[in-house]
Amino acid sequence: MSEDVKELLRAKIPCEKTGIEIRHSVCDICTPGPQCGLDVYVKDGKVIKIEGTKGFGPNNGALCTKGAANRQYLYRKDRIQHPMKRVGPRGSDEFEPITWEEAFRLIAEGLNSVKEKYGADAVAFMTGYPKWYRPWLHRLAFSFGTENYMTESSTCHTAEVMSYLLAFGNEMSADVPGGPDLLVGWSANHMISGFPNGRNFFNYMEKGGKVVNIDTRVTPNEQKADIMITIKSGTDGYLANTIASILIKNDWIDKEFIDNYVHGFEEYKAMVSEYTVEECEQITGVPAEKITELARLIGEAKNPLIMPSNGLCHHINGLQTHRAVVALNILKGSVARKGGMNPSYGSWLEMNAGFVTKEEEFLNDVRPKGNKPRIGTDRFPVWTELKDEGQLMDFVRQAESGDPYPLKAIYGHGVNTMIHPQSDKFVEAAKQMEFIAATDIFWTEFCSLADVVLPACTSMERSEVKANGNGCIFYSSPAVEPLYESKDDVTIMAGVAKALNLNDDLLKSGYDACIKHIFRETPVDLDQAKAAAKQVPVERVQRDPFLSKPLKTPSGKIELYSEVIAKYAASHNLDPLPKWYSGFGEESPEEFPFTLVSGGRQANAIHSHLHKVPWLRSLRPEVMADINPLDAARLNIEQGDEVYLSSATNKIKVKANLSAIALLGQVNLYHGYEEANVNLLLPNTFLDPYSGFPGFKQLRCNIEKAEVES
Amino acid sequence: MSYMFILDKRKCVGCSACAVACMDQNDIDVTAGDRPFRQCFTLESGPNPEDKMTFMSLACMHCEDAPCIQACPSGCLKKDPETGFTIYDNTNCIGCHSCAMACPFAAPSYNKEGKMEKCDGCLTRVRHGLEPACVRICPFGALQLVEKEEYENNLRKKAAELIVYSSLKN
Repeated sequence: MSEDVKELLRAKIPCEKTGIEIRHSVCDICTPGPQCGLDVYVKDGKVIKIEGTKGFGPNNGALCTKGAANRQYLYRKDRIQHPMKRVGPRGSDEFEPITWEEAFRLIAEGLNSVKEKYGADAVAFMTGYPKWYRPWLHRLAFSFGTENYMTESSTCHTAEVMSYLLAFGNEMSADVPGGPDLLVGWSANHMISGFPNGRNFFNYMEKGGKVVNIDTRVTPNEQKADIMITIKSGTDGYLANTIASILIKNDWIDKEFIDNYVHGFEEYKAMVSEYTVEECEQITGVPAEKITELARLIGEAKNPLIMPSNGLCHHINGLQTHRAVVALNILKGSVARKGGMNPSYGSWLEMNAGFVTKEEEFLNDVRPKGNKPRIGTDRFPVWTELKDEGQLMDFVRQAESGDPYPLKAIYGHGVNTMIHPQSDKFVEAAKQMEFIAATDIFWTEFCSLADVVLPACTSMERSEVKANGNGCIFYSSPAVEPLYESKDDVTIMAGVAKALNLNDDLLKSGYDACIKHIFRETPVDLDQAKAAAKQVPVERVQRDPFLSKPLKTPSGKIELYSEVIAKYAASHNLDPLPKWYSGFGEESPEEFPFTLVSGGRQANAIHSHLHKVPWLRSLRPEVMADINPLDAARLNIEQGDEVYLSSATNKIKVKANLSAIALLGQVNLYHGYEEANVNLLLPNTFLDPYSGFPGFKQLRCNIEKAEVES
Repeated sequence: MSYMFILDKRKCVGCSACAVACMDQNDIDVTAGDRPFRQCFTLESGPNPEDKMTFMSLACMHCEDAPCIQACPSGCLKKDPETGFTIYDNTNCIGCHSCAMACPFAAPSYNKEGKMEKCDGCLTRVRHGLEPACVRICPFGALQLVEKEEYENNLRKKAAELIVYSSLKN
C-alpha cells in the first residue's frame, strides 16, 4: 500500500482509494427531540467514524457530545448478542442462547398464560429509551387486549405536556426563533441538552435579544445569560406567582387578550394577590431587587417569552410550578403569536413538522374495549384524563397490593429499573411477576429479571422515518448490518404479534408496511424518500389560527383555572389554580439539611445508556456529587473525597466534586449510575399528586464524609 | 494559505463534543489511559453563582515559532508550509519528552510505544477540503478554522471575545 493511501486511511478520507463510504443515518440517542442526521463513515461493513450531516434540519453538520460517540455506542462491549432464556432463578444472570423462533414461542406462551389466568390487563407493556418504536408497542398492547402501556415519559416529559393541555388543550412550544423582545429561560439547559435549542439562544443573543435565565443549577445557559437568577430548588412556582402579582398590580398585563381568551382570571388574580416580594425572597432565595427587576422587565416587554423546561416538573409540586410559569405568558398575551408560546401539533412521534399522519388512527383502530382502568387511574386521575397511557409510577404499588387488580407480567423494551424511585422496590415487584420479556440493546438489570431477553439494534443498523421541525421527513436505511443476531424493535414486535397469533395483520407485516399505512394520506412518496437518503420536504397543512375557535379545554378558553383539575379537587385535594406548595417531603431539615437535586443533564450522558461508552465516561469517570465549595469547606470535604449521601430512605457512596454549579445547601447528582443509583434515595411515594412525577430535584438529604479505611 | 483555530468564548459551553470527535477521528483508546488531542475545561472563579465560569476547548496552539520544533532532538516536528499547522512524523521519535517540556500548553502526549502524538490540525482532512473533526462537530460553531486573511479582515476586531490559537502576533 502506498504511503499516500495509508495516510488517507489513517485520516479516514472517504474516497475510492480508501473504499470508505459515507452513509446517512440518524442519531437516536436522545430522541425524539433534535433527531440529528448522521454521516456514517463505513469501511468493509464497519463504522469507522461519525459526523453530523451538513444541511440536515436540526443539526446541520454538528453533533453534541453524546451523538459524537455513536460509534462506540454501536460497538459497546455489552451489546446483547443473541436471544436468551433464563435457566437460573429470576434475577440471576444465568441465561443461555436460544433461537429467535424459540424466543417468540416462549414469549407467546408466557404472555398468553398470564392472560388466560388473570386477563390481558395483568400484562404491563413498558418502554424506556429509545422512542422510535412507541406507536408499535402501544398497538401491540392494544391488540393483545390491554391499555396498560407505560413509558419512561411518566417521569420525564409528560407532566410538561399535561401543563400545556390543561391550559391550552394543546401542546405548546416556545418560539425563540420568532424573536420575542425578552426571553426568560426557566430551568433551560439547552446548551447542554438538545443543542439545536441552545443554538436558538445564541442566535437570539447575537441579534441583540435580551436573555434572563432562572435555574437552581449554574449551567452554561445561566452563565451566558444577560441576567442570571439562581433559585432554591422547587420554589419556582412561588417566584412565578409573585411576578404575576406584580404584573397585575402594575397593570403590566394584556387585558384585552385576557378578556377575550382566558378562563379563570379573577380567581387567579385573587390567588396571586397573596404573594409578596418579602416572602418570595425568603422562600426562593432570590433577592427582592432581582424579583422586582424581573417583574419590571417582563412587565415592560411587549412580547416576552417565558420558556419553561421539563426540569420544573421533576418535583412533587412540579405540575403546579410549570403551570404557574406558563401563566406569565398568558398574562402577557404571548400566545399564538410570533416569538410567543405557539401550538405544537405532533406530526409523527411528537415532532411538529407541519404535516399530519394517521398515527392516532394506528392506535385507535385496535383499541381494546371493556378494559379495567389503566395503571395509576385512581391515584392520578388528571394524568389518566390527559394521557393515553398508564402512569408507570403506580406500577409497584399495584403490583404489590393487587389493588385494583393483579399485575403478573411485563413485556418491555428498553426498560430501566433505575428510573423508579426506590428502584429496589421495582426490582422486588418484578421478581414477583410470572413472566417477563425484555428487549434491549445492552444488558441491564431488568434483563437479569426477565425470562426471555431479546437483542435490539441501534438506529445505524435499521430503517426508520423521522419527522423534523423543518417540515421534512428522513427515511433512513441501515448504514451497517445489525450486529450479532440483533433485530430492530419493530421487527421483534411483529414476530411477537405473529407468535401470539394476534388478529392484527398490519402489525405483523412489519415496519415498512405500517409506516406506509400511517403516512398513506401524507403527501410524500416514502419509496422515493427512502431512495433519496436525505431529508425530503412535505407540504404543510394549513390550519386556522389557534385562537380563532374554541380550544380543546373544557371551557374552550385558555384556562388559568383548570376545569379538568376542578373535577378532582375535592376527591384528591387538588387546586384548579396554580397555587404553590412546598415540594419537600416530611423529613426534618435538621436531620437532612441539604437539598438533593438529581435528574439534570450533563453533556456526556443521557439517563443511563451512555455511562458505559468509554469515550463519554472518560469525561467524568467517577460518580460525583457536585457540592458547593463553601459547604464542602464547612464539612471538611475535599475534591475527590468519598462521601455518603443519605436520605430517610437509603444511603449511597459517591465522590465529591467541589463546584459552584451547586448552590449553597444543595447537592447535585446525575442519575443512571448502576454503582450509585441516586433514585435509591427517593421514597417511591414521593410523587406529584397531579402528574405522578417523582420529586427528583427536591429531596432532603445529608452529606457525610466517608471514613477512610486504614 | 495559512489557517488559524479560533474559539469564540461566548459560544463555548465546555461540552467536550470536540474532544469526543477527536477521539473518534484518531481512534483514541481511553480505556488504555490515552487522551484526545483536544480537551475541554471549565474554570470556576469562585463559589458563588455570579462568579464567572470560563468554558474552554484547548489543543496544540500551532504556534508560529513553535518551541517544540526547536526542542526535538530528532527533528520530528515542523511547520506545514501550506496550512501553518505544526505537524510531525514520529518515526524517529525517541520518546525523550523534550517537546512536552518545551510546550507551554502540554499539547504533546505519548502513545503505547512511547512516541509523541499530538493534534495535527487534521491536516489530511483539511487538504481534502474537510474541516478538522473538532471544528465540524462543534454544536455552536464556537470552534472554527479560519484563513489568516479572514481573521485579519473580519475577526481581529472581535479579538477580545476570541481565543486565537496561533502564532500570529496580535
